[in-house]
Amino acid sequence: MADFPTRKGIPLDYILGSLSQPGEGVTPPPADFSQIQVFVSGDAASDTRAIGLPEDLRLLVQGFVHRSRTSDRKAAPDIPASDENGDIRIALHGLHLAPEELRELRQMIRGMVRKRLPGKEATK
Amino acid sequence: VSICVATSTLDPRSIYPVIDPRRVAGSGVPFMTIGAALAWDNFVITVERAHNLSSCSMQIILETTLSEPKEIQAWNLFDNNFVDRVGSSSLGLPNSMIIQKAGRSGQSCNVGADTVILCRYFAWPRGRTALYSFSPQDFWDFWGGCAVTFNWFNDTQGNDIWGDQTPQPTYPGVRFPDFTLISNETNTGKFVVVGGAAFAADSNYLASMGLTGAAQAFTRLPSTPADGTLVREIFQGDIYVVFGGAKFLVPQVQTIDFLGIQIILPGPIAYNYNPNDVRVIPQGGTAQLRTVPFNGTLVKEQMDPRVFLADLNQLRWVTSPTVMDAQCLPWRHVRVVPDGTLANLPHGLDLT
Repeated sequence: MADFPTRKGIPLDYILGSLSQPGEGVTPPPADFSQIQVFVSGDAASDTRAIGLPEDLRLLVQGFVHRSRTSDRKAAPDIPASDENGDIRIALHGLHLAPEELRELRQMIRGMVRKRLPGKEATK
Repeated sequence: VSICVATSTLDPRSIYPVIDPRRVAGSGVPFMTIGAALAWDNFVITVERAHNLSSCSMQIILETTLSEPKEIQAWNLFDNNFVDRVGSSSLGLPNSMIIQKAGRSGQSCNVGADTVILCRYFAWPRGRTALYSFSPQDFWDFWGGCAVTFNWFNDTQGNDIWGDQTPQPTYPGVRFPDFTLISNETNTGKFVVVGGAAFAADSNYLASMGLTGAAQAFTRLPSTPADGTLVREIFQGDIYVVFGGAKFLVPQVQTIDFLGIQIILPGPIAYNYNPNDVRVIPQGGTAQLRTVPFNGTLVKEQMDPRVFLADLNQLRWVTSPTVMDAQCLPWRHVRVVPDGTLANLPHGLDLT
């Protein structure tokens, strides 16, 4: 830690990252990084039944997007959308799906959340 | 609103690990200083416990004198936008902001921040560019309730290593390995490092332990070891486990009930502590350990479901999981201490 190029006199408790340049053993960042991230928050985050739900949703979205991109359906500009009806709100950013695909995906996400967290279903 | 689901446009390469100050020697909270060598920039990040903030809030401060403007955005993933920001003085932005945790129970999805995004203002035509972020869950779990200062002091000596290539932190976070010798400030004596903390070592201890090597030059080290350190004073049988800088006596033996059968086990094994990890420290060394853990430490006894929060040198019972969530207290921070060790500590008002 002593060689961290900072002002003298600041003792560091931890170094995040490395000062060295990447060597041959470091894999360069992939040019087309397509892993999709899904975040779940609100009541679901603290519900023990929701363990693994973000990962399952990520796989669901990733699979849907992959199928969409390998089909002949023409992608439309992404329209971030949220579900104003009920307790499940969904915002889909950066997926570059057609509006009808986004609607379909939102329904699938809502279905998975309701299946995993039946008590969280919206009061209709 | 109960559940918020959002896909993110954050580039996974930009997301860096968050260091848990509770698992760094000195117990980080209330204080931890990190050197952060990111892809194109270097930072010193200081994390200090802010007693006026709950774990649902965080103060973000930007310090920089670099000529190229910098900006830190408080980012809401659901809205895919910033809710607040700080920046270089040349941008006319404040250098400090208080942010609230997004996604809390009963809170609208587009309220609060999930993480922060660190941006640079490159020359035209590139302009403002988001470069670095932090894992949202860890960001709030580890730094919630703290004042976090980003000293952005270098933008020309990066390592070209992005977040997804950065190794995950290793714990305990210590500056020197166990049994390193450090000279004292006047160079008239030595400290021995255990769990990242310095203990004054007398000649008898050094001789008995076979620590005859040269000592490194003086540097100020924490007085309390990292969480989970097991210590025993030389020639004493009592073993202590350290959490939040405080010592908890581990019984020599512990009787546990296993399917109706009483089983007697060595104390450390009964509590899932590895006896081989017990470190021998100089005589009187446990005196420098705290009695009540640092503020913000969560503890429970193994056989008692009650979780207590250390707050202003008292333990406060967190009366329900709902209170845990409402106070943004992460379950992952709950430390299990030997049974009976919390009874004699001062207790304050329950958290309801």
